[in-house]
Amino acid sequence: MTFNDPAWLEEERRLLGELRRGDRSAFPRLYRAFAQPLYARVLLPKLGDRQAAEDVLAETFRIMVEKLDSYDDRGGSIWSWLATVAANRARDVERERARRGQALRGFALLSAPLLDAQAPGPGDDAQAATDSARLQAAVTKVMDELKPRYRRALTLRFLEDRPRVECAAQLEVKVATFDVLLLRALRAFRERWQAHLAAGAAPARVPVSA
Amino acid sequence: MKPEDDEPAPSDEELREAAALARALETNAPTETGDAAPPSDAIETAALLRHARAPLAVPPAHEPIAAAQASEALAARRGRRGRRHLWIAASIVAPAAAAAWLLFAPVRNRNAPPPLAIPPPSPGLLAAQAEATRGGRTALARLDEEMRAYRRRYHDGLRRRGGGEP
Repeated sequence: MTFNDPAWLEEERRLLGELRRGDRSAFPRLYRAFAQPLYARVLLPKLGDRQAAEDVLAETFRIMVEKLDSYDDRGGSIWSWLATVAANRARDVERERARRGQALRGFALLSAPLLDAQAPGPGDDAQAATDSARLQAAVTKVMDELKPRYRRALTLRFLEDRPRVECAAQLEVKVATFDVLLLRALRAFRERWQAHLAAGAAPARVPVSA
Repeated sequence: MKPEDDEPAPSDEELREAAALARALETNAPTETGDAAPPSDAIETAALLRHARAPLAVPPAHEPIAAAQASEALAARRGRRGRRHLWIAASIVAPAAAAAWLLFAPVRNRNAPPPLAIPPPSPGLLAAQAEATRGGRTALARLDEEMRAYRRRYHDGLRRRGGGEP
């Protein structure tokens, strides 16, 4: 079911009406419908940091409640409005990071073509699993195309989350050499990833559970 | 690089970028003044790889946090709506009160005692007025005396009616 499904739109309108009248019991259902797609498709990719994504997610729902009276659905779902609010807040956080000189970055440009291939719908565990499975399968496929040494460096550092000193030891190189190797591996991965996206299809087609 | 890597030797620029990337990935601390900025393409790709290893799921502990914030916003919204209702009520009541006053004020005036009729002039006053038109000091003095008596009668009438002297 997507957010444009008539059955969902009817339920969404009812829940928003209840919330407008001050009925708190409508909130959990709305949260469970929108939190997952907002987090996985908008906030985490834009911010690249779980804590920041969670903070902005909570803020997005607060803004939804505050501005409920002025929101006009125009026959559609509130999803687009929520996604815009979340994206704007994420942009504010990015600007603040840039001002402080923090290096954290999102990966929205890299993941959007893959994750947006499927229309969002009321979020549930199945959708989270689907998005994760698509991303993981795509990463694995591109990794397989890299030089073995690059693949090893990326796997140790990011998939196994090992400290760089340990990565360097595993690869039997100096730490400074590992740093260069990692930079080259990341750029090689990016190049292959973008080539797959540019080919017009998701990097990997994986069977996913509904 | 090890010879078997078949990798070209890094340039100075690449060495700087690699060091900046390593620092950024290690700490995510703000860069020191004079530090080279980490290469954004590599940082972005690193973020993708880091998040690819774990499910893109909102942690269950997040819902109560969001619910608490939404609850506060709901309460604040109720307060705002209450104040708005007060304003609406005030803006309805004030014109209604003014309209009621306009409607009932004439009724109140109708219930008030009718105005006192001017007493008819006495024959003495009429004669004094006729004499005064012909002139003479005594005629004017007599007219003045008759007019005082006439005003006294009028004021007595007002007092009896309860309207007070004008």
